[in-house]
Amino acid sequence: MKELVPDHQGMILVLMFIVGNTLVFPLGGLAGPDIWLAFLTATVLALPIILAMARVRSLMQGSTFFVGFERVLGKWPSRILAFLYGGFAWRLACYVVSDVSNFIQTVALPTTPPVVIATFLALLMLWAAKEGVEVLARFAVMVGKVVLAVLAIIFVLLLSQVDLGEFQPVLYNGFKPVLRGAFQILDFPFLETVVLFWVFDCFGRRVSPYKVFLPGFLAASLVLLIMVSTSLAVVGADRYALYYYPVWTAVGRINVSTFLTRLEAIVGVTFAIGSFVKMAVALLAASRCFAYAFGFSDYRFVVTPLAMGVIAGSRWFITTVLEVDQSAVETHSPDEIMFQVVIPLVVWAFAELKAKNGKANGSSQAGGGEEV
Amino acid sequence: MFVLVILVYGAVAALELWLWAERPWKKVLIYLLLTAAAAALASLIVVYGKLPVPEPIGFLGKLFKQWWQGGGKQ
Amino acid sequence: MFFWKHTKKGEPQPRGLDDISPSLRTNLHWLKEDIFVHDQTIAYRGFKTSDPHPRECVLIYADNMVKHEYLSQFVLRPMMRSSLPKHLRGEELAHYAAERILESDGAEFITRYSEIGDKLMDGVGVILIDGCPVAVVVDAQGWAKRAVTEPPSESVVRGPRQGFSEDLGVNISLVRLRLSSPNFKTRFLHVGTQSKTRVAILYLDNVTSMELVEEVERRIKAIDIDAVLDSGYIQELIQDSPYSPFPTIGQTERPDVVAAKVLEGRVAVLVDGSPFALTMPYLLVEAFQANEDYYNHWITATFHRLVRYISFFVTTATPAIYIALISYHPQLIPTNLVISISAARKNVPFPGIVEVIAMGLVFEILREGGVRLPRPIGQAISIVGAIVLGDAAVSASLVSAPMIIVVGLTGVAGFVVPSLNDLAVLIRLSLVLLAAALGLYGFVFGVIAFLLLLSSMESFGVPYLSTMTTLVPQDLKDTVVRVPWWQMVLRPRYLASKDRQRLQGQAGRTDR
Repeated sequence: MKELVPDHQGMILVLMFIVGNTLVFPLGGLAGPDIWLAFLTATVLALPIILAMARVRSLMQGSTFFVGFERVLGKWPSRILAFLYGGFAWRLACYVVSDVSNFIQTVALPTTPPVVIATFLALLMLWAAKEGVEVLARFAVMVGKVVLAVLAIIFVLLLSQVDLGEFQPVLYNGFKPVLRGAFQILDFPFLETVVLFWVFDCFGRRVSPYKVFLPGFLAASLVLLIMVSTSLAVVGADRYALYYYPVWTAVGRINVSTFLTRLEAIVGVTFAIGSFVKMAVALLAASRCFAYAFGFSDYRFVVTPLAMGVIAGSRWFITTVLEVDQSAVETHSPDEIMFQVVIPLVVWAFAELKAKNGKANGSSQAGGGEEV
Repeated sequence: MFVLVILVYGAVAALELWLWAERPWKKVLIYLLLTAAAAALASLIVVYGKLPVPEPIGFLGKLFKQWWQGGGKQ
Repeated sequence: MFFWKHTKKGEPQPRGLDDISPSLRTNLHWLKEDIFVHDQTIAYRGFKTSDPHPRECVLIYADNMVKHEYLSQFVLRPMMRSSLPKHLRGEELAHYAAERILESDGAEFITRYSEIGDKLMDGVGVILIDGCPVAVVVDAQGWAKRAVTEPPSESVVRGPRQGFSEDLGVNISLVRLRLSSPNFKTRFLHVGTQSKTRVAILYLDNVTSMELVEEVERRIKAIDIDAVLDSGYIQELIQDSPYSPFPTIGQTERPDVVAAKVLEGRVAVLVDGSPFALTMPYLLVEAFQANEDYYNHWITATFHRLVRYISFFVTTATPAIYIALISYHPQLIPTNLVISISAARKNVPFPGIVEVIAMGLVFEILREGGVRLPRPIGQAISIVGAIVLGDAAVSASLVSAPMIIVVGLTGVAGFVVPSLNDLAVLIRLSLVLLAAALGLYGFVFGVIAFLLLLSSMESFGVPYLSTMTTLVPQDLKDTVVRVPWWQMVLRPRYLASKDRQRLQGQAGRTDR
C-alpha cells in the first residue's frame, strides 16, 4: 500500500517540521546581533545536505521508500541504518515532547507535572503516527495555515517595537560568532530535517522530492529568520540569548490600545500545535525505521511501544527547562554530526554510484525507476 | 511506584494486543520487546530520577571535538 | 424469493415453480391461498369480456394504492365493452388486450407469481385472462401524496421553494426539471428484504466519474437489511468513517441543491419514502455552504460563509476558552474584564466547569424539549428557559451572568451551521473537559485531536478536508470565499469529473 503525499502538502509538512517547535527558542543566540547573517549562512550550509536527500529520494523514484533504499544500499546496511535512524528519530521525538511539556509547565501550568502533558501528547502522536504520513501532511496543512497566519499577524504587531539599531554594528566581533550561531541553527532545527527523509513513503514524480524539500526548507528558513530577527530587535541583542523563550517575551510586549495585549498565549498555542507536527513526524519516522529494521514493511504495530517509550524518554534526556534551553543552544554532539551530515552524504554518494552503474549496465534498475 | 508504571505499560500492551486482528508471533515478540524496553526505561527513571544518557558513539566524541575545534576556530 | 416446495392436493393444477398458469382458477387459487393469504387489502375484481366470446378475467390491485376511477375508466370499461377474438390463444390474448383494448398509458407483461407480488405493492393493476399464462400490468399508482412544499428544515429567503416529498417519482421529476439533459441518468435499485424500497442513484453521464457511480451502486447493493424506512438507513450503512461523528454523506430536502451537487460531479441517492436526498462524496466545506450562497451576490455570500466559519468556532470553542481563562490563565484577560468577571462570579458557589456543563445541559434540554412539541407549548418552554433558568438563576447566584452570555452565545451560534449542530455539542463538551483539565493547552490538545480525526477521514475516496488542505487557487474558489460565478470555470478537482469545464470561454458573462 503506497502512501502518496501531494507535493504541496509535503512542502508544508517540511515547513511545519522545521518551524514547529523552534519558534520560541533563542535560535542562533551565539551570533548576537548578526543573527540574520547566521541564518543565511546556515541556510547555505544546509542546502547541500537537503539537496542530497532530495536527490537520493529522487533516485529511488518508482518504488516505495524501503524497497528503493534496499536497492541503493543493500539489505543489511540499509536495515542497520534504519535501526540507527530509528533511534535518532525516537530521541528527537523525546526531545520535542520534553520541550513542549516543559514549556507548558513553565508558562502556564506550574503545578501540573510535565509527565501528564507528555502522556497527552504521546496519545495524540500515537494516533497521528498510526494514521500515517498522508493524514499527517493534511493535518500539517490545516495547522500550517493557522500558524503562518498567526505569525504574520504577530509580525505586523511587533513592527512598531522593532529597533533596527539592535542589528548594529554588523560583524562587530568578526565572523566567528556568526559561524557558531550558524552551526547552532544547523543542528537545531535545520538538519533535523534528515528525519523527514525516512517519513515519506513515495513521491508522485521524479522532481517531487525537490519540490517538497527545497521550497519547504527555504520557506521555513525565511519564516524563522523573520520571526527570530524581529524578536531579537524587540527584546535586544544582549538579552535575546538570555531568555528561555525570547519570541514569547517579545510578543508579550505587544500592546495595542491596552486591549490587544498578552498575546503570548497565542504564541504558546501556536508553538504547541506546531511542535505536535514535529513530534508526530519523528515518531512516525522512528516507527517506520524500527519496523523496517526488523524486516516489516507495515510499521503500525510498533507505534504504541515507541510512544510509550517517548513518555519515559521525555524525562530521560531532558528534565528541566534549563536543560531544554541548553539542548537548544549547545551543539555538536558527535552523533548529531554523524546522523545529520556524514551519513546522509555517504548515502547520497552510494546512491549516485549505484545509479551510474545501473545506467552503464542499462539494467532494469534504471528502467524500473521510470515506472509510476 | 515502579510497579504501578510496569502495570500500566503492561495493561496498555495487553489491551492493544487484544485488539489486533491477527497476532503473528514475530510481531508480537518485537512488540513485547519494545514495550519491555519502554517499561524498563520508565521504571528506571521513576526509581532513580536522573539517568545518565549514553552517547552511542561517544568513543568518536573526543576525536570529533578536536577536529571540530580546529575547524571552528578558522 | 418465492419457491413453492409444497404442492397442494386438489383441483387446482400443480404449478411449475413460479410460472403463471393458463388457468385462471389455478392462478386465483394460488394468489388467494398462498401469496396473498390473509391479505384483505388485495382486491380481485372478476369480469367478463363482452359477447360473442365472453372470457373470464380478473383485475387484481392493492386497495388504496391505485386510482380507482382510472382503473374503472381506462381498464375495466374498455375490457368489458370489447371482445377478444376466438382464435387467440395463450399469450396472444394478453398482447391483443394491451394493444387493442386497454387505454392506460403503461402496460407490461409478466409471467411469474413473484412479479405479481412485487408489482402489486407498487400500486398497479394486474389483469389475468383465462387461458393466458401472461399477466398484463397497467400503471395506476394513486396513493396519498404530500404536496410539494417548502422544506421546513432548509428554508431560504432567496431561492426556489420546492422541496422533496416522500414520493420517489415526484422527487426525481423535481430534479429532472432542473437538469433537462439526456445526460441526466437514474439507476434504480431495490433495498430491503421486507420493504423492497426503491432507491435511485442520480448522476450526470458526461460529468460524474463512473468509478464513483459504480462504488455507490456497489455499496448500496451490498446492503442486506429487512427494511429501509428513510434515507438515514442507507446513509449510515454506506458511509465512510462510520465511527466518526462528522457526516460523510450529505443530506438535503431541496431539489435545487441536489441538482447543483450532481452538476459538480457528485452522485445523489434518493430513497422512496424519504424527503431527504443523499449526496456523496461529502466534504467538510459543504457543511458551511448554503444554496443561497450561489443565488445571492458573491460578496455577501462570502461574508455569510465567513460568519458560518466563525460561528462554528464560537459554538465549539467559547465555553472551553472561557473555562481555561478563568480557571488557569486569568492573567491573559484584560484587567477591567477580569475584575468584572470575578465580581460576577463572587457569589456563585460552583466552579466554572460545573456551571458550564450544567448550563449547557439546560440549554440542550430546552432545545430538545422544544423541537418535538407543538408550537404553542414550545413557546412556553422558551419563556421558562429565558426567565426561570436564565434570569432567576443569576439573581439567585446559582450561575454567573457571564456564563449565561457564554452559553447563550454558544447555543445561538450553533444554529448557524445546522448540519453540524448536533455534533458541535459533543465537540464543545470534550473541549470543555480538556480545558478544565489542562487549561488552554488542554483545549489545544482537543483541537489537535479533532483536526487529526478530520484529516484521517475520507468520503468515497476523497479526503474529507480536500479543499481546505490544498494550495491550488482553483480549488479554493468555493471554500471560505464564494468567487463570482464567472470565475468558477472548472468543476472541483477532487471529484475527478470526466468533464471539468463548467463555463465555456470568457465565462458566459457579457461585459458592457
